[in-house]
Amino acid sequence: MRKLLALIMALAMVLGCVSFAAAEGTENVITIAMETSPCLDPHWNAGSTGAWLQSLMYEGLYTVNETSFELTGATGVDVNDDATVWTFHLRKDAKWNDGQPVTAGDYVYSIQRLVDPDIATTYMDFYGAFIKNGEAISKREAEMSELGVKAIDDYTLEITTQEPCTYLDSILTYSTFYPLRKDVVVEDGTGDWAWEVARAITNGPMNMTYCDEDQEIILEKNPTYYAADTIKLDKLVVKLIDNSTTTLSMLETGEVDLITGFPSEEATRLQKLGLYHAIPALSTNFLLVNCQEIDGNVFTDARIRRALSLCIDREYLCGVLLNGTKQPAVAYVGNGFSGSTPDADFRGEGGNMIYTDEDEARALLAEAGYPEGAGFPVLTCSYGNNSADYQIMFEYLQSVWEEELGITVQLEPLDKAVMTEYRDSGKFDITPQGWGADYMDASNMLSIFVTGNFINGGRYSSEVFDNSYYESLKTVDQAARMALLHTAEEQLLNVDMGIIPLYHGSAVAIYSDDVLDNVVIGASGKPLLQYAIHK
Amino acid sequence: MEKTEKRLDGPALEKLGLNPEDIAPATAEEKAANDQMRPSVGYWKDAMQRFRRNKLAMVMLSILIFVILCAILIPVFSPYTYKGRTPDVRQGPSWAHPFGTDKLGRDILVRVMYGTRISLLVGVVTMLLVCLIGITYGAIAAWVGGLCDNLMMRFVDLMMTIPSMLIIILLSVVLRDPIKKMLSDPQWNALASIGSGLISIFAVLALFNWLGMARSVRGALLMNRTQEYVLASEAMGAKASWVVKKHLLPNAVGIIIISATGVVPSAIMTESFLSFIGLGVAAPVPSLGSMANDALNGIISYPMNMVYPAAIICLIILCFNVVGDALRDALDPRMRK
Repeated sequence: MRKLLALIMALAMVLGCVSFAAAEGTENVITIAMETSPCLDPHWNAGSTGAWLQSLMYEGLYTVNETSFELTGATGVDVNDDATVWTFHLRKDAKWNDGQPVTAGDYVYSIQRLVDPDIATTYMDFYGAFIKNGEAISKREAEMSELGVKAIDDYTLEITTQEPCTYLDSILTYSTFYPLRKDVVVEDGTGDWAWEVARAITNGPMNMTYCDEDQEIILEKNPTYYAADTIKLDKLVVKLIDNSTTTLSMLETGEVDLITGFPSEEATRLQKLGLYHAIPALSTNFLLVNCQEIDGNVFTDARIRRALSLCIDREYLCGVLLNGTKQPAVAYVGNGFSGSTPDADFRGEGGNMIYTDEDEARALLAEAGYPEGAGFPVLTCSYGNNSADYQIMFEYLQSVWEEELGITVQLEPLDKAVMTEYRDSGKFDITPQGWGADYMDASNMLSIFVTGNFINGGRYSSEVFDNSYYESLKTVDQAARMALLHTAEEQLLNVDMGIIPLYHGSAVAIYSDDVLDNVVIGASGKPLLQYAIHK
Repeated sequence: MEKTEKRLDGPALEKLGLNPEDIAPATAEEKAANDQMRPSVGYWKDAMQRFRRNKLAMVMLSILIFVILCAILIPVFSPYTYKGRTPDVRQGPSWAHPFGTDKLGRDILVRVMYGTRISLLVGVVTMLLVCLIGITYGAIAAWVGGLCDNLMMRFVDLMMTIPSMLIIILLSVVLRDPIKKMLSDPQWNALASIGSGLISIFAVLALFNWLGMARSVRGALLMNRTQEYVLASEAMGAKASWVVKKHLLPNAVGIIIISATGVVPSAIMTESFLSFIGLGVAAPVPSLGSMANDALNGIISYPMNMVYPAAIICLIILCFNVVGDALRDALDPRMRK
């Protein structure tokens, strides 16, 4: 009996090895790690990890590539002269992973869902406003049938914009505009349906075959994808783990092949090991300052906000304290956005707007009525306790503000949920915030500071800023549009200092060149994994 | 002595089968030895002697004293302060910085020692608060007795069923704002310099550590209360408070000291844990727990940053536990050899 058992076990081991070896030879499997519960509903998601997975699962009209974006969902597009009517000729070989063709109706449904006030998706107000009558529908002032999106026939889609919009193509790259199948969506206000494998009917290069939103998500190559033969990746295993120290040690032991988040203290070592791959990202991290007119709020005074900003040595903060993983900000909009001509850079034309000058800071604070910080109330910095970068940054800020201005600074690291609640309800003095461009246009970066935007937690409000921004949306001429955006940015920083920009992020991928090949970090800041090869 | 000496006569000895020649008077020395087997020593002196004979405890006590001295003196004499940044960021150990510098260029040795101060302060203050609450509560319960004692002790039982760590975490979150508000009042200026985080830790720790103390004090008092000398003084009209103060508490001191030395390490551990999860003292004030938490972020690149605070925590707790253990042995008369 025992011999038999041993024989069976030995056989099982041999067979196991054989089948493992066979799988290794043919399948290109990559394992990555990301934080838990990425939102997979294209309309509810606002996070970057959710957008990353969706970019593999879905394909929209335009898709981000290595340097920019390209038309993928359609074979051609006709735009009228004032850029208000965009007619897309959809590709006829695009299929959902259940075999049904992707039609104009799926795109129409998706945009209707975006603006539907009964669903009230995350970006209803923001992206809805670009589409003709989108804003009116979301405010129940117009009927859904009046929406500027029409399916002329199954493969012709017509999008009419509210105002002339020359950069609609860059907007359409965002996950909110992916086509969506009406029959799979469950409207319960959560977007949780997207975690059900049976409902994950998608049209992108990969499709979901397993999902446990707290443990693991598995994507496999979508056989019905029209360009399936260009996709190198057979299977993507996404391990969901919140702790970045854990994921890093998993990477180093080879349990995962690629991660995008890592403890910043390890940066120097990772750079030396050659695991650190980064490109500048189109994002800015800044401090929201509470600008609300409430009793005793000293931060309504622009001189105080400027004084705080003038103390910060961003070169030192980014280069030394944050190990060079970030680029110091010289203004709010970073490099990489096009300017008045396609070749010009928005930042290059706008120039530097912020600098370090402690003497001027002290003078401004004295002018505002607090010489040497006397009588200045305790400044509280509230921030999420899960980010080591924030901890370093705020301990540095606390130190320079106390030393240079003579004020008292208190740090308040908070749980993520509490922090979100404080920020959204405006209960803070200073809190960090980041914004990564959803599409490659400077107007997207500036859009979050218009009065009433949900990211604008400090309730910064300026008539000049709002007017210039809204005027820019209506402007077709690129140079004039950029001039308006420059005016808005100048108002935000040079006049009001409504926020305090700190640094521009980097799109980072941690992996070993010995393990992965052909990993390209896309213009969206996330690796285009569908082309990556596991050696 | 000679006068009172009486000799047994021959026949009597013979009856016993003894030779009269063998019987001689005791010398003075022999008498002295019979009178007293050991010199008369008081309870405390005796306990201290036994404590001193415990070598392990003495070693631990000297380590503890050394750590306490370091914690007091190093931050005073070092050219660096716990929050002063230097241009040398993330340096390894050197002559200028024996433990190296942290992510903001602060001297780790000074920060660890300052954190040790905080830990010791938390341990000692919590112990004092626990003694105050626990002894009063236990003494009242023991002396009043009856229904009152029953109710008071059932309340203690009830408190003990609450998972304390959960409530401690909850309370340290909830207490923060009220304490912060209270401290902004000028009349609390003296306390404000300690910081709201630390005060809420004192409050929370004291609130959950006095239960054991109250129980043992009550037990010790009840045991002594039925002794004859207590009954005698009661019979002679002594007031309750006088009896408690003069007879009962002094006899419970041993038990109180043992409970108190047990509170210190557990308070230090809890404070480190709270700081580790970000609920302790506010930055930039270092605490051993928050330093360990900071080090966690760079654990692979800078492992030593974790070792220093963790080692000190272990050392302090080990010392207090061994010393407490030795005190228990020393103070218990039944352990006498």
